[in-house]
Amino acid sequence: MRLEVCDAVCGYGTKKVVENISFTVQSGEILCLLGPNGVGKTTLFKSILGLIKMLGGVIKVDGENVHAWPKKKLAQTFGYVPQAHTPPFPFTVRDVVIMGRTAYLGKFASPSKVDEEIAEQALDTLGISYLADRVYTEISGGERQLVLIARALTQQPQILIMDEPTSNLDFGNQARVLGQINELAKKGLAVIMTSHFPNHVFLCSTKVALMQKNNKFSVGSVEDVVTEENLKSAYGIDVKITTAADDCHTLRSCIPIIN
Amino acid sequence: MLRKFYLKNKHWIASTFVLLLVIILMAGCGSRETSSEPGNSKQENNELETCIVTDHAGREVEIPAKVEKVFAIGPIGSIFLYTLAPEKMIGWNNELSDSAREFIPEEYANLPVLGRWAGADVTGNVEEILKLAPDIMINVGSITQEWVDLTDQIQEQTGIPVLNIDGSFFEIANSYGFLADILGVEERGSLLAAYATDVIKSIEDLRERVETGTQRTVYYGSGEQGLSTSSRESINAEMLEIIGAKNVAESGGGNMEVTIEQIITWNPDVILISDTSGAERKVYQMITAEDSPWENIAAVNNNRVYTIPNLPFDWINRPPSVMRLIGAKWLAHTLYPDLYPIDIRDEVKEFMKLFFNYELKVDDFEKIFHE
Amino acid sequence: MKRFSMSNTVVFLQKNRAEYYLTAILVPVLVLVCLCSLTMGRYAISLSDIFSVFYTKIFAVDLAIPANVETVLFKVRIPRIIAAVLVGASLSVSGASYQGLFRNPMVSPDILGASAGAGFGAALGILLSFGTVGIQLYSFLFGLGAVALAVVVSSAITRGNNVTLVLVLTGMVVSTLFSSFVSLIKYVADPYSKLPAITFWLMGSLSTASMKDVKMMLFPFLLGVVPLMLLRWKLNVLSFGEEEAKTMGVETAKLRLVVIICSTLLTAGSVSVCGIIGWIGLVIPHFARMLAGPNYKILLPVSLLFGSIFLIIVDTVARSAFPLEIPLGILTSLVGAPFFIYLLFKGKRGWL
Repeated sequence: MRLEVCDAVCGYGTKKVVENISFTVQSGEILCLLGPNGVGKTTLFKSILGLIKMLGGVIKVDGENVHAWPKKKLAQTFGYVPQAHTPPFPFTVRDVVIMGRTAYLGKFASPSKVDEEIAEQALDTLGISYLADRVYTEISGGERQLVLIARALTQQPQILIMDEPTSNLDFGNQARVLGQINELAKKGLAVIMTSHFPNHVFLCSTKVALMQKNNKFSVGSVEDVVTEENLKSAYGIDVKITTAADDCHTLRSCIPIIN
Repeated sequence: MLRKFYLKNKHWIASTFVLLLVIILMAGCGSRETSSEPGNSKQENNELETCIVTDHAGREVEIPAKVEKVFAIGPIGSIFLYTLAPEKMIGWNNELSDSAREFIPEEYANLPVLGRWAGADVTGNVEEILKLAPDIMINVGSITQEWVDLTDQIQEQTGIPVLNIDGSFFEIANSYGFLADILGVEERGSLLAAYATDVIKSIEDLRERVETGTQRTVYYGSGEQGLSTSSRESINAEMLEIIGAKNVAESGGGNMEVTIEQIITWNPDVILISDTSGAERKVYQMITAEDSPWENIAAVNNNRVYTIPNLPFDWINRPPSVMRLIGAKWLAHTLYPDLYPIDIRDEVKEFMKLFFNYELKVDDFEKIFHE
Repeated sequence: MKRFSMSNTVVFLQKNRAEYYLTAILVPVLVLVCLCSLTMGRYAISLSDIFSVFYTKIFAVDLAIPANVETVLFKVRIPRIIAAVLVGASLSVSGASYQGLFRNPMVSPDILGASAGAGFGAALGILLSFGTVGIQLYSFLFGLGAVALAVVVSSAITRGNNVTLVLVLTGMVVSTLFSSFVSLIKYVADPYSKLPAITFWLMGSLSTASMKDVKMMLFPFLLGVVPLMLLRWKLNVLSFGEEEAKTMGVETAKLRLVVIICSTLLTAGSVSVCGIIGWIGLVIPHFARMLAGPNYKILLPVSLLFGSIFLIIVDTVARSAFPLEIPLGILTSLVGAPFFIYLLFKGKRGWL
């Protein structure tokens, strides 16, 4: 599966926020969208999801223009994982996860046994089956994030689009969620995620797109894009990229230089 | 040096200044009052003659000796005033209905509508009333502390004297006498009072005779569905007791909603309807319709459902006015035709001539009695 | 042994096909309440009389029962009970649906102006001396019209993300507007006949419910309830979040429109038959949610049944306790308000 974003122009009404964005993502790849606040990351992927009308350019999956697709097909292709928020009603985790199956249900249908099994599987994949009967509003932020990922998985999508999946998570949960994302990519999903943390890029991306002010956009492999100059140009601070190694891993990390 | 003095005594200086201001203002007001009087007294000397009367609530009120313009603050009073001295009316409280206008000459029917004061329900436009400058205002109705307070307040607010006059049925004759004296229409007043006294006597007579016989049970219904009624203790339905009938609603006040089930349980002999839909008699039609829930009530079964005449104004209630004089006769005759044999048409003719100065025509009967 | 708590109950119910259990209990409760209500009223009717009347009707045998018994049962009580079922169900289903649509458990069916508009229509009808049918028709139409106004205006104002908020605000404005018109009508109405009629009508009452009214109400009721029941699972998704729902394939704009139309049909239909009855649409769904959880698959049928049961009980009190007919709106407020406060005390974290 190949997602192509070609010369995308995104914005609201007549106001353009980003222009001439082009990149591709294949199955098994993880693309991380980096960039400072307000540069248009959210606008971009809301446009990909069809939540905002695109002002120009095309988004293709395997050569087809996705915005010509019916909503159902879009839902079956793109799985959206928003930032975990507090909903107004205390649904159980099971109920939340199974909501993802809406993409496959008829107009007046409700989930069947098959749907319930798919939901169980999704919970299992992420290792959170023990949460199934808990109330969503009573679990921790990290657990909620995992539940939302499970929900996106029940959509059996080909691409997962995640909005800052590690914000509001503690250090341990951040690592766990990133680990899960890696596993999902290995299983064949394509993943696009936004992040505020260049370090996370080193931990789990194959590709990086760096969005900067003045519509500067660079996309490529992690080594090519995440460089000290690029980070300085994007965030306006000095950064040092180091490498650490142990027996089996070579780990890179970037450290901001303060005063 | 002056500056030092000022700073030291800021507070004293400010207080003195304010005090001076107040004195000047008060003097100014006072002088304005005194200056207006000479003006008035120059032009209308005899108008300044006043007298003190005690109204039916025991209030001592100063009123002009000669009263030419009167305003009644409620509909009971307006009807009362119209029958006594229409030439002195300055306006009505509500729009007259088209059917009522047929009985009232144009010059009076077209008097301005000035609203009413009825307890908390105030629609009186004070400035309009002041513009027309009535000499006195009257409140005809129940004499209660609430009304005393209200009339005091109105008098205070408008500067126009307000008189409370008893509006209950048995006091009609006295009330006519009282107001007739004040308005200088004693002759007319005694004519109307005499009629009222006669009616009251004949009704009291009837009541005594009924006591020993069978009392009719009556349901008095109003409202779109006929489910609004007034109970025994209210002024709205007092006519029933006065006639010697038994109101099936024992208590609950002047305006209460009941269920049809309750009415079926009471099973009244007679049903009186207050129906404002006029010639259509919607409520009557609804009650006597083929399949209605009312059909097995004694009154409906025996064809004793009556619509209360309401021309030019309601004969029993809404408002409970002097129309009750003819209303009482009608009700007595309807409920106890053997004990109270009158020719209702003759009676209505006489009443309308005397009280409304109106010659009843043949087709007027149709309008009044829906026959 | 797990400690008894709301969440445990909810989970138990949801795990074990609760919708069947709860419905299985509530339906017979509803029937029982109807039957009890049938035996109560100002006109004394014994149980044996009731059996006799039904026996007569079914087997066409004449048993010399006083005519009034039949009248009271068939012309007064039965239509009233059926009307209470329909109105109670309408208001609670409508309230529950709106709470999901607006993602807020504090929402009532009046939020877009349906009640205020319907109240105005009825007041206007009374003022213009229409017959009962005219008054009900006006009430119904103005109820629909008020909501249409709110929807149209809000869609003209809204810019992308804040659809729900703008809807609520325009709904408030429309409600207030029509309420003021009602006050205006009350001001000019004749104080002896029209004004009391309008006031009593606005306080809500089933005293005039006849079989004809019930039959007329059936149309908007079915038109409103059926689609909502069919779509109730989708309501879960919508109640979670608008954007997420869209990405899961829900056509949120269409769904919103359907929910609004159906709820308005239900609310306007109820108000046109029996005036404005508050609190049911707000409190019953809350209570149902405490028992059955927020999953609309269970919540909607449970709200419906509870709403009916509640209104039958309240109406029975309104018509039997005193010779006086107590306006329903007053009773539901007297019962609903304290109950609501109690529910707030006991509330779950999730929706407070």
